[in-house]
This record gives sequence, structure tokens and C-alpha cells, in this order.
Amino acid sequence: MIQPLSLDSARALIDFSGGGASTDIASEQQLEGSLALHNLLAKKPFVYLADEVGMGKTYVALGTVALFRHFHPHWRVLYITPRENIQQKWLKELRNFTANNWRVTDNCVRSFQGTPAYGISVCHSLLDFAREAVLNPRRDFILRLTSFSFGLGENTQQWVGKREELLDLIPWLERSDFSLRDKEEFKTNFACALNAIVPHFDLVIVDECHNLKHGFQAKGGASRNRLLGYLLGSHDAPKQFLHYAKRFDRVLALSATPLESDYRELWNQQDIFGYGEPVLIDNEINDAEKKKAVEQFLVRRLTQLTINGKVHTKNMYRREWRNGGVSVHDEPLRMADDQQKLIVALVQKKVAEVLGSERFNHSFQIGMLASFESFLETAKVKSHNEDDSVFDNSEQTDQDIEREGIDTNSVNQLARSFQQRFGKSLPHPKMDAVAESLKSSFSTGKKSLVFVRRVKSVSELSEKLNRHYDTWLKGYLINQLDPKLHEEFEKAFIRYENERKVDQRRELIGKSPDYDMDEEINDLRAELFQDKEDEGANENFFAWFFRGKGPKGIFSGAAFNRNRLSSEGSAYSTFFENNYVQALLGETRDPILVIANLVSLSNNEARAQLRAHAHSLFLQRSRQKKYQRSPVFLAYQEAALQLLASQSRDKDIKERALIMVRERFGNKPIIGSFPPKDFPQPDSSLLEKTFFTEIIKRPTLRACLCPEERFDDFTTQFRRQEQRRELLVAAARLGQPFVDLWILMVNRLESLSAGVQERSEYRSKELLDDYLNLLEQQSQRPDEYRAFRELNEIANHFDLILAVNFPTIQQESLKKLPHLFGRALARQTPVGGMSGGINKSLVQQFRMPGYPLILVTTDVLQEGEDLHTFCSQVIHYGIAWTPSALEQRTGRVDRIRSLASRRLQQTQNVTDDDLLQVFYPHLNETVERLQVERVYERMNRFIRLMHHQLIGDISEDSYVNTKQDMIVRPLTRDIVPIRERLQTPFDVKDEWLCKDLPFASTDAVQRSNEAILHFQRVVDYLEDKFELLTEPSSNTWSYFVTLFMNRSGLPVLKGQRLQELRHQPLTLFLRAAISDHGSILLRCVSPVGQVAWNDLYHMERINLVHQQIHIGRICAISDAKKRTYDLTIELDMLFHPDTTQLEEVADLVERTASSADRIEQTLLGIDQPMDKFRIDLLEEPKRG
Amino acid sequence: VDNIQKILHEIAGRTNSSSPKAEPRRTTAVHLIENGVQLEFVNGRKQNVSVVYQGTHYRFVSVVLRRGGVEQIGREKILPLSWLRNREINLVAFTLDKRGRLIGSIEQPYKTADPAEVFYYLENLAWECDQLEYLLRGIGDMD
Repeated sequence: MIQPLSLDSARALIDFSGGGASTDIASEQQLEGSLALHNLLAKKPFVYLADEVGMGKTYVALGTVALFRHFHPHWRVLYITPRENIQQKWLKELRNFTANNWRVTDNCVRSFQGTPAYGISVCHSLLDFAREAVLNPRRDFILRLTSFSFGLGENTQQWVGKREELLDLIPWLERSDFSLRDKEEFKTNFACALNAIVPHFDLVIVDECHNLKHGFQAKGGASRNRLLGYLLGSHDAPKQFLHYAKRFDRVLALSATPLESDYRELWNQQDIFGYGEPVLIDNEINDAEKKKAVEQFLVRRLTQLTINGKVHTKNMYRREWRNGGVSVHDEPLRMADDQQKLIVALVQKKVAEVLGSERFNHSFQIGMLASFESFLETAKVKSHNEDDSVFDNSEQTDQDIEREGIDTNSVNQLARSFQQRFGKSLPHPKMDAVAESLKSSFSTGKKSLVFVRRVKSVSELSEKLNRHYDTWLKGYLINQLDPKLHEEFEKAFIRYENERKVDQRRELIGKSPDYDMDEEINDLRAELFQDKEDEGANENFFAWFFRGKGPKGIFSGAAFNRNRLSSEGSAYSTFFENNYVQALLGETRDPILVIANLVSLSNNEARAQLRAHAHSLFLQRSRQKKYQRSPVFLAYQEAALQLLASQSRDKDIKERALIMVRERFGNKPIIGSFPPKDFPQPDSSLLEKTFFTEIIKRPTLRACLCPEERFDDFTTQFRRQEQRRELLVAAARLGQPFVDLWILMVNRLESLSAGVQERSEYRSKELLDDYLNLLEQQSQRPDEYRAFRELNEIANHFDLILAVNFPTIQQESLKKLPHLFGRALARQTPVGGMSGGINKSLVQQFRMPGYPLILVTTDVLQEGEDLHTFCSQVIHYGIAWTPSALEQRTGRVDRIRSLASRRLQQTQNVTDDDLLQVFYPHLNETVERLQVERVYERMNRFIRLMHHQLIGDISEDSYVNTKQDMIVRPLTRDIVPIRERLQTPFDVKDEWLCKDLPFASTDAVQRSNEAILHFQRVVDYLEDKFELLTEPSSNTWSYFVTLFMNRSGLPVLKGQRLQELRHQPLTLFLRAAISDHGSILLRCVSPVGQVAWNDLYHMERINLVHQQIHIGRICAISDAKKRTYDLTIELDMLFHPDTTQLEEVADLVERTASSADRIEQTLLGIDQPMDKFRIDLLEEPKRG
Repeated sequence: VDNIQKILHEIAGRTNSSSPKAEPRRTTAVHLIENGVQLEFVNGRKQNVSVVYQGTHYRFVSVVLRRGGVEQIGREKILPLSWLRNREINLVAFTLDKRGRLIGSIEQPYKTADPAEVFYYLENLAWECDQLEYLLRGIGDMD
């Protein structure tokens, strides 16, 4: 029985303003939403959250789940998301919500580690789901809708393969249940059979549920919807299946566009789960009554911004460019000259001929005429993947000819003819105008998101924009470079252009018109997901000159980065490092003397200790015989901090040094060595000037670029400062700001030839001063998009950037940050293109200031990815046919804390340019105008339907009929944007907030706190009992340690002699026992080693040893890359401060370590220390 | 040993017993049997758990598959499956025993055992074994 909760109870548990993701008003609205849904779901099996795009529906839903789980920890939730990137997004948001918005450590929602207390499995197919459910059904699962439309070719061998995989998982299924007679029947049976091992879910969350608006049909209809219904058991199976049953209790549907034209669409979505409300499809009942019924289970709130004291709804703060132009609002797109007009007229004639043919009857699918987007030849794509066709969302039609674009052949003929006759490509006025208007982004830094329908338009538009970018960058560089360098630079530029042309030709020759796009996309995906080193590219001059290896023989930006800033021996290798000792002690002429005084040593003794220790650290860090600058610098920094951390008389410095060394370098035992004479003295390393030591002396600039962090807790303060530093460094070295740094360098070197730097007197210190001077100068002109602007924006929006791009940063070791940020910001390009799949790093970069400034994409980015943080302009270059798709696309940049909302709320005198800009570029006087008018009309009807009342019947037809539409336009059309303030009829009702209910709580938090106290007693006891080596990463809820094992395989007790010992690393930590209310388990994990997947011999041997000792459980973690199992021994016990005795825990630890040690000997015959397992072991307590 | 026997008697004496905080409550009855207890669940399924004494510890053991069942599926599949499942669940250790059976077990020192804790372990073990039996043999029901 689910009890409703009061608003106060919910507020005590959730803080939506946490983590910087929401404003105050938005967070209260989110809280009310979570609670309303909770209380509605307590009594209704189907509830819909239809808040407008960008209001944080995901968080609201996560809040609802968390409220349920806090009071019912055994709850299981199934998330169904549209596609893979959105699965990942849910996982990310789930972790964010748990860490930042859930207020308490209750071991039901949030674990001691700050992570979700329950397990979560992200599944990549239905079979993957089945596999994971077999391993552990008692957790949450995140599926994707595309898994339900698994493609089966006509070849039944493929079906047989699927069947065998399923039978392998569920050995007791009948093979005869899977007849190969009919594909759809096979799929249905597959889903019904799989239902047998689907765990029971208390709640199913369906994200973007409007995707299911076509409903469930036992035969025919969307097979995806049918499979979903059968998998969950919401409809009777078509025949007898053993154990077939309904596998869920209630459904929470999410979508900003739950319906478009009829309440039947809502019923269809409900009916997939068996909850269709008859009133919604009853023709005898009017729409007002239906709306009332919907108000009982649907919640929709509207985004509102208060601008200059006036409330604006979404339609008011968006500025729509519905007349087609892109340079002057409400103006149509102008054709540049008579040639363009002639070409457009010619294409129109051709299109009219095609449409006029009997076959098409003057009709075409919205968005699916190639000529609307390009006059370039559209390659006929041979592809086996449903996603890879001429247009995105090819599901819009099932006609092959329409999927290819009915005018494609005609346009191709024209394009070829024009190319042959005039030797150049057929110009396209719309593409040219859009590219022309977007090119200003390169000098303003303004971001734009461009949606196309035709897949090939992504590369064509990107190519045009890249050429504009090259022109701009060349001009910028010529302007900034010393005139002496112009000739060399021009030569370099010509070389780049030649190389690019050669590569383009090669590409053209290499691709026949029937090339296999699957292969290319697979290669591309492989590249995206591998952490390959950036080789540079020649898509634009920035990629060629500033990224990767760069051109040979030139002191390019790439060469400067790679050979100077990154080279360990270079004088510039410490340019962006931090001098921690100086940060701790302040600037001093003789840091060794200061250190010596603090640790009560003579100057010589301190120097000797520092050298001995630094040399030992250097050997750990570098295998080079030569003492290179960067590793020596870091070794001395670490050595000095360690010395201060262990011996400083000043308590504050000691404590800070300890934190700095632990967080930045990781605690290591202090081991001295005998440094050779030529090992450098500490002075220069401790006095080293870097960007960060120098910027401190310029407080104004510092406040703009890396403002000082102030926290009571020094660990947090230091970590934040380092996070800021590393992000700034990655941006300064990998993006547009690096151009300015390179310009400074070469202007001083006075040459672009490779090796010039070695011959120059110009040194790091001078570059530091020059760079800081330059940044100061640029700070006087903040409107110019240069290095300062980008770095300043990153500093100003640091928390927002971390929240959207690096949500797990607080759990990351500082040592990992260069890799993390470096990887995120690598391969920057001013213009990004995306189709077929998500390029995660491009998306991540678009959420930050800097490159890419323009992102051209198909519908792959339509849902799920938030792109609002630094972009307030969306261009519907190719138009989607449903208002929901358009709304989803625009919604990418219209979300809580978007650039537009920040600007509008901060600006005093708002102009139209400050609004969120939405473009629909098209050419008037062409059939494209008919298309956009149809879409505008549908958009208006959608708004009226969701906010006022339904008006008339709305055509579900995605066709434009040129003949009919020409006659009726434009008088009867409702195409002007609706500007009045919108009102929602579906707001949260007061009764759903249960304000009068008493405060509800559990004792879970108190029990967690008591457990932590008792855990500390346990740790103290273990340290008294055993000889052990504790890891510095241990904390109040997890303990990492190496036990020493004697010859008998038992841990060495305190005070026993340490001889011929084996080591056994292990971790002991507290975790939630989710299936029971608030119970806490103590788990001990000790690693053993690896065994190959197919090595049955060793598996049997391990099993034999285990049969003899019968201690602990053997656990395997599958590593698909290596095809191995990582083995551990684990033991759990119930943990309760009142009943758990200290000897019991010692016994648990002893038995785990003994068992692991013995099996390790059997498996490997060797003894592996903590170093071998440390990284993996540290992750153990974070397991859900 | 006596202590454990006493606890088992106490647990079996309860009607509709369950660990007080467990939710949902699964066990409807506990019966004493030779060498252990039998748990009866809300879905009507029953699972036997035997007690093995090992020095200072007791071990609750419950059979998932007999040797024939294991061989039908194949030891090469069962062995890694049991280890992978061990990784995912709490408390229970699945393993192939000397008799070639797939068993689940939980071990604890008997000196510190108390009824609530013992029942908690018994219920978890029996339920996990029943669930795995369902997945491998199709007998029973999915949780």
C-alpha cells in the first residue's frame, strides 16, 4: 500500500536547487511535480508528466522514484528511453540527482558513497536485458525503444541465431514456440517468451512516450509497440506461453508533446500498457469531457520567464523567423542574383513535373524533397541500417521512393549537367544564405544549432561553413601575425589548401555512387568511441594547423603544443602547471630555508631530504635517464609537500600540505634514495614560475579566469581550485584560445620554420608575461571572441559546465583530470556535423563555450541531449513534419538555465535580438513555402490544443498537396506565431500536494549514521588486531588495506614477526541491502586474479579448492575486451551497531583474505600486491 | 550447535513469520525438516535449507540443481554463471559442490547468531535458490 506524502515530507528529502541545475522557482516547481506524481501514482496506474520541453522532466521523475524508494526500498524501476544516448543521459542524471539533489544518506536512495544505493543496468538489446535479468533481477534497468524494433532480414538463418541465443539463456523454452514461417509472428513469440524472465517492476518510466502514440495492435501496426506490450505482459499473449504474466504495476509516461491532434493518441499510449481509458476514444463524448478526464492523470506546466517584470511564456520569449529569411526578421530569403533565380525556377519546374506525374498526384512528404536542402547530387545510399537513409526519420513514410526523395533523380540530373557545363556546383540560395549568415559566428563566438532532414546536407553545409571559417581564420591570423611572417604563413596556407583538395579528390574517386555507407559509418563510430590520439585533420585550417601532429617542417600550433608544451624536457612543459609549494607557503626567495624552518631541519638537511625523496619519486614517474624538467618539477613539488605534511611544526601548513599531497599526488610511502650528483637541486623546481603563480599577481585577471575558491573545508577548496585550473588549461591548449598563444610565440620567434624555437632566446617566463598581458588587453574588449572571452566564460559558468558535462567530477581523483578534460576537449572543430550516431565529445563541447560554434545535425540530436547552456539559436534548415519533432528540436536550446533565459533575466532593456531565435529558412515562391505553411499551421494547432481547447479536426496527413494547397492559401491558414501568454489546463492540483498530511519519515538516516560510527570502531579494532597496511583512500564507510598472510595462509596478528609474507589486498565497506527495508550489509572483497572465458580447466581447479575450504563466494566480473573473468572472493554479513560484534568482523576479514590468498596461489602461483588491484578495488564500494 | 538448533525451532514456531523489516514479506511458513528447515513462500513454492556445521561456523545450504540438471545445461555454463551471479547478489554463494550439484550457501559464525539474523539469512538463501532454479528449469515463478 503506497501512502501519499506531504510537501514538507518531500522537501525534507529533495533539494532541486542542489548541483546548480535549477533556479529557485524551477526547483519548487520540480519538487511539486515529483510529489504530485508520487501521490497520483499511489492511486492511479498510469500518470503522464507533460511539462514543456526543458523544464527538467527527467529530474522530476527521478524525484518521484526517489520518494517511492525511500519509503519502499525494494522497489524496482524499468526505464524505457528512445535511444542509446538517452539511456546514458538517464544514467548520468540519476547519478547527478542522487549526489546533488537527494538530501540524505539513507541507503535506500543514496549510498554511503553518494552514489545510487541500488544497482542499475543499462541494456543494449532485449537479449542483453534478459542476460542481465538472469544475473540479477533485483535492480533497475534502462532499456531503449530501438531495442524493441530489432531488425530481422528475410534470411531465416538470422532468426535462428536469435532463437538460439534466447534458448541459451532460457534453456527450458520450447524451440517449437518459434516458428520461422512469419517474421512478425516470430518477433511476437520472441517477446512473449522473453516475458518469462522479466522481473516484476513496481514502476515503468517511459521517456518521450509520444513515440508510442500509434498504440498497440496484436497484428499489424508498429511491431516495436507490440513487442513492448508483450514483453511486459500487458496484453494477452497470442498463444499459450509458460509463465507469461504482467510484469509491472504502474506507468509514468514523460513527454512534452503527449498528443498532437487527438486524445486518441493518449489512449493509444495508455493501451500499450493495458490502461487505455475508454472515455478518450468514445466518439459520443465531446472533447471538453475528454480533457477533464485527462486532467486527472496528466500534469503539464509551462516555462515562464519574467522579463522586465512581465511574465513571458515560451511562445513569447522565442522569436520565430517564419517568413524564411535569416538576416532580417520577417523578411523572406532573398536570392543573390538572376542566376540563382533562374536556377531556382528551373528546379521548381523539374519538381513540378515530378509532382505533377500520375504517380505522385501533386503530393510529397514534408521535409522529404531533396531540392529544399541542396542542389548537389544526392548519392544513392546502399545501406542495411534503417537509420541510414537519404533523410532522417525515414519512418515518416513506408514508400521507398519517398524515402529517397521523389525529386532526387531530377535534381541529380540537373546538378551533373550544371557541373559539366559550368565546372562548378549548382548554387543553392538557401544553403548559401544560411552559411553566409552563420559565418559571423566565427568572430562573435555565437553558437547555432542547425537541424537538417537530408543526411547529406550535414556534410555539405559543414563544408561550406568550413570554407567560410578558413577565410575568417586566415584573415585573423594575417592581421595578428608580424608582417615578416606573412609570406611563410601564406605558403603554409596554400599547402593546406592543396592537401585538402587532394584528399577531397581522393575521397570522390574512392566513393562510387553506390558506396556502402554502413561501412563508413561503422568506421566513423569506431573512431568516435576509441580513445585514439588526435592525428589532426584537414577539414579546416584549425584542424590541420593547430591539432594533432600538424604539418611537417612548420612550427605550427600543433608542433608548439606537442613539442613544447607537452614535451617533458621542454622549458615550456611547466607553463600551465601549478607551483603548489609556492601556493602553500607564498612567494619566497628561498623556499628551502622556509621549509627547513618549518620542519626543524638545517638548510642542508632539508635540501638533502628533498633531493633523496624527489629522486625516488622521479624514478617512479619517469624512465628517462635524463632529468627532464617536468617530472623533476613534479617530483620536488610532491617531495616538499610530503615533507611538510609529515614534519611541519605549523599545524595549518601541515594539514594543508597533507591534503594537497593526498589529493594531487596520492599518498605514497616516503622512500629515500641516493640521488646521483647530477640530479638537479630543488631550487629551480620550487621557484618555478608558471601561468598560475603569475596570474595571482594580477588579481583582476585572476578573478576573471580562475577566481579564488573559498571554503571552510580546505579539501573542497583545493579540489575546486585544481578542477578550475585543469579545465582552464585544457581549454587554453585545445581550443580557439590556443591560436592567440601560438601567435604570441611565433611573433617573438619571427619565423614559422620548424626548429626555430631551439635557436631563439625567447623563454617561458617571457611568454608567460606576454600571454598574461595579452589576456589583460583582451579583457578590455570582452565582446571580441578571443582567448580571454572563452576562458572567462568557462570561469564564469564553471559549476554549470561541471553539472552538464562532468557530473562525476567530485568523485574523480585529481590525477585523472588532465585526461578527463583533455579527452572531452580534444579534436575541437569550429563546425561539427552529426548523423547516424551521436558523437559524444562533440555534444559535450557544444555544451561549453568555444568550438564547435555551429553544430549541423539530423534528428539524432532531436531528443535527449541538452544543448542549451551556450546556444540560443536553432535553425530548422530541413523541416520536421510534426510539431512535436520541431518542439523537441527547438527544446534542445530552450531549457532551465539556458543561455537565452540567463540573458533575458539579466538584461535590463531586452531587445528582440536577446530572445531565443528560431529560424525556418525557406524560399518563398517555391513549393517549399507550402510545406512550411502546413507545418506552421500544425504548430499553432498544437499550441491551441494543449493550452486552450481543441479546434476542429486536424489532419494527420504528412503530405503536402501542391494543387490543393496552392488554391486555399493563404487566407484560411493559421500560420502567424501565437504571441499571447499561454495558460495550461493541466497544472498540479493542490489536492495532489497533500499539504495537510503529517510529516512522514523513516529511521533510515539515523541507522546509516549509527552504522558509520560503528564502522569506525570496527576499523580501529582491525588495526589493533592485524599487521596491515592501510590505504590513504580509506574513509568513514570504506576501508582499503593490505593484510600480511603467514605461511599457514592466515593473517599476521599485530606484533607477530613479518617474514616471508604474502600480501592480500582487500576492501571492507558498508552497503545497502536494497531488498530489505534499510538493512545494511558489511562486505569484504579481496581480489584473486583473472581466468580466461574458455579456461574451464582453471575454473574447475578453483572450484575444487573452494570446495575444500568452503569460505566466501567466488565472484566473477566479465571483461568482454580481454575475454576474461576478474575473480574476487567476497563475504557479506548483516551489519548493525547493536548486534554486530567486532570479532565477527575480524573473522569475516580473516576468512575472506585466507580464501582469496589460497585461490590466488592455485590460480596463479604468485603473490600480487595492492598496486595491481588498487584502481579496481577503489571502485568496489561505488557498486550499486 | 545447540544454539542454532534452538534458533531454528524458534523460527519454525512462528506462523507467517518473516524478518520484521523485510518487504515484501515472502515467507508464509517455516517447517523443521531433517538437518534443517523448509521455507514456504507466498507463491506456494517451497525450498529446503540444510545446516552444515564447520568448526566455529554454520553453513546453510540449499540445492538449486541436482547433478543431472547441471549436466544437462553443462558445467562449463553453470560454473561462470554462478560466479557472475555471486557478484551481483548479496550474501549467497552459488557453487558446484563435490556431488556435482549447484548449491547456494551462506556461512556465519554460530557464536553470535540470533534469530532475526538467522531468519534473514535463511529467507534470502531460500529465495535466491528458488529464483535461480526458476531461471534454469522454468519451475516456479519470477520475482
